[in-house]
Amino acid sequence: MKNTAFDSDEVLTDFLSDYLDGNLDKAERKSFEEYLDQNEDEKVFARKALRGKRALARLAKFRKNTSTSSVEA
Amino acid sequence: MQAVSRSELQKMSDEDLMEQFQSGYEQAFNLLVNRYQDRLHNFLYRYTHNHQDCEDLVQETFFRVFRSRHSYERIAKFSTWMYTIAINLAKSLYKKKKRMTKVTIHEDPNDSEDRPMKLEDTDILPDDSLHEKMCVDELEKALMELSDDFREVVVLRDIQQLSYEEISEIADLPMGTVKSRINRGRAQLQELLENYVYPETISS
Repeated sequence: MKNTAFDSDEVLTDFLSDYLDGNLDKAERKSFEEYLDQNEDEKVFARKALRGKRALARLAKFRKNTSTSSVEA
Repeated sequence: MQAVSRSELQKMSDEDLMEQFQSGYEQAFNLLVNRYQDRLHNFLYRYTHNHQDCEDLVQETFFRVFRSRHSYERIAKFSTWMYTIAINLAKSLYKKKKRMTKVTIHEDPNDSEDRPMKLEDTDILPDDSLHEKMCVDELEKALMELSDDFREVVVLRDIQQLSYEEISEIADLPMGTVKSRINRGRAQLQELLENYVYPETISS
């Protein structure tokens, strides 16, 4: 996986986390998306992180539905 | 079963102790209790602000560790598994007492899952078709392929749905490191999943 600005910039990492969590307001989201549009590597990384997050959400839902999560036993 | 001395047990990692416990050595469980009871109490105090509640929760946590010992797998660090049990118990207690004003969980109306995001526009790869082909086994397999550092934090965040603050405390890492690892873990997981489904399209 390519290194991106997210590896060295904590503010950007915060932005990305808030973006993926849906915690940016409209203006912040637009600003961040403009940044991603201008930085392809970061955009690719953010896209993968978003899809990975959604994949994990599916797994969490599956585990919850099937009650196989040992920690909730 | 080969006998294991107490001194040998004391040198073991938490995960090795759990394996010994799963094999029938209750002394290994006692050592885990000794290692974690004070830390767990301090950790839980931030949720309860009540020492009696803390003691009850610590006792209940270790009871569940004892009872569920055979469901523990070395996928996660022992401490992560145990702290997650404790947090779930603490949250349940708060709900019962209606003292918790707000719990930071992922499943809320403001969650990104329910919000349109530009990254999901049509100028990207066919995400839906990828996910449709994805089965749970592949997800589990990909999760297992992540490094321990990444797997621990993404499980806590995206499976157990803990807050960043909780994860920072459990993993004993700065918040920035937690967020960075979570995002990298998610991205790496996605790369692995894409590799399963479209191996020919993945560049190194």
